[in-house]
Amino acid sequence: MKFAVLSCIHGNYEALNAVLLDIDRQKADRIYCLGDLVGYGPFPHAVVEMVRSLDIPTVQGCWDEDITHGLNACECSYPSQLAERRGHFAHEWTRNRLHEESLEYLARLPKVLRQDNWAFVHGSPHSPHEYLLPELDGFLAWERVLSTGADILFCGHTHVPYVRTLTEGHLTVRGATERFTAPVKRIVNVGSVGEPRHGRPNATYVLYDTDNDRLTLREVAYDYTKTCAAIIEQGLPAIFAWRLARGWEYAERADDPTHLCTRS
Amino acid sequence: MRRVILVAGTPGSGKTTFIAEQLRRQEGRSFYSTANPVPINSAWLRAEFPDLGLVEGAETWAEEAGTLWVEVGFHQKLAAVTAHWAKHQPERRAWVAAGVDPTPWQEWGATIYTVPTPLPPLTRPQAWRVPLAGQVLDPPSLHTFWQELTAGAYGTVIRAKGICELPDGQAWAVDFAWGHPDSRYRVLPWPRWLQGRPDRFSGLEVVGEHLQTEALAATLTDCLLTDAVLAQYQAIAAP
Repeated sequence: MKFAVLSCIHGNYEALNAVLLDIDRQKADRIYCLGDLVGYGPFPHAVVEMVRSLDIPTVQGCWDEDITHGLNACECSYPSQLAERRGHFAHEWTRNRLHEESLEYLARLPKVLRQDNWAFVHGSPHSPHEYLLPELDGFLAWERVLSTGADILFCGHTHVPYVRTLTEGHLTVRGATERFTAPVKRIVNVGSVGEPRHGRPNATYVLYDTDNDRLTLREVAYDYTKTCAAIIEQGLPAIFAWRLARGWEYAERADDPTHLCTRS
Repeated sequence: MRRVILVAGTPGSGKTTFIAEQLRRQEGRSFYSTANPVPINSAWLRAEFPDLGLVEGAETWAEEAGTLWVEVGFHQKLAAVTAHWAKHQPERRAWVAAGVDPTPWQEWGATIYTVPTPLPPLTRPQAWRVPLAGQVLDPPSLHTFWQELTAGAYGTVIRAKGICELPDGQAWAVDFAWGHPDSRYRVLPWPRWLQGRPDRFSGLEVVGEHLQTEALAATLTDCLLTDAVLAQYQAIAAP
């Protein structure tokens, strides 16, 4: 079986369409979505409708949570006052454009999905707001994967894709005689469909072939200028279009691997 | 001995840096004059040369012994500036970028310095200046703003410079010139301002073309700290 995992669409309908088309060409049997369907981008409702209509198993992202439950993030959400103001503007804009059924759908999304030996989360199993950066302390990385009971943890949120293999490890509890052996685990960050942060505007997602245990990062080019034009036409800040065209994230930026989100 | 030296030319070609080098070598009193309403260069130079005399214009120049450096803005008419200082028989030095079509500076300068600054051709250069005295900026916001500004998010920028107050009480000089990959940053040797809003000069100047001044102003405004946030920072920084 082959399945696709995508995340962080952020109202970018053009990018989502391109990724879905690519998934179709790759003949994936199933799709999982790791949330952040909305926020910053110009077509939040259309994106929710698309994901909903395709019945894609989806977890709740931090934006999906904030838009339905109100802003209450910890300091890791915004790296600066400027980013926070841009984020809050986008929040209000998005909130005012989402239909009631879309809000209800986002509010009902689970925070964690489990299937076989895989787990799917937006940020981390602890919180959709928590960043699992590739440099995260090894013990914490183990703890986050083990807490799900899965062998592969698929996440998004950082907008930069990576695969981290946690090789077989041993843990001895001080003062105890028992020694624990942990099997190989992996954290797979699938990047972002609609708001990349890898220096190019292309969308990214991940394909996983369960038959040969092969992970493939897909980078999909699309006509991002349509999204840029829509950002401006719809009254979102023009700087969002400028940043999207360069593969710079709109406002948020995770760069502190030692920070653990205090929001549960 | 009295000398008046007019310095004009391409923005970002190193005029102020050249003046600073001369001031380091020069003996005797030195003076500096600029018509820039947001006098960032004056503040930069005074930070390094506290004895540098500032002169507003020819009418206030008391012909003291020493050297007066007059930095001419790119927007100023060379003939008018020369006429303004004519009775002091000024020297005329011009900085021009290599490989560009002849500019009025070549014709005007008695001494020409050609610098390898690959500037984009600007048909209608403009300047955006903003005084910031009393304002304190959120450091990571300033970082983002400066990154966007110098990468062209608000129009083509060939020169950007400023003095920015930060919440730890330090004033930073920020400096970008087209053709140089990185901006330069340095802390000015001013006392830390740790109580209330700084009562001293700070400001920004951006030179370029097609500048989106409304967007620039809006973004910069979002970088400014409120009284309440500034008070929180200063409470932490206070000894």
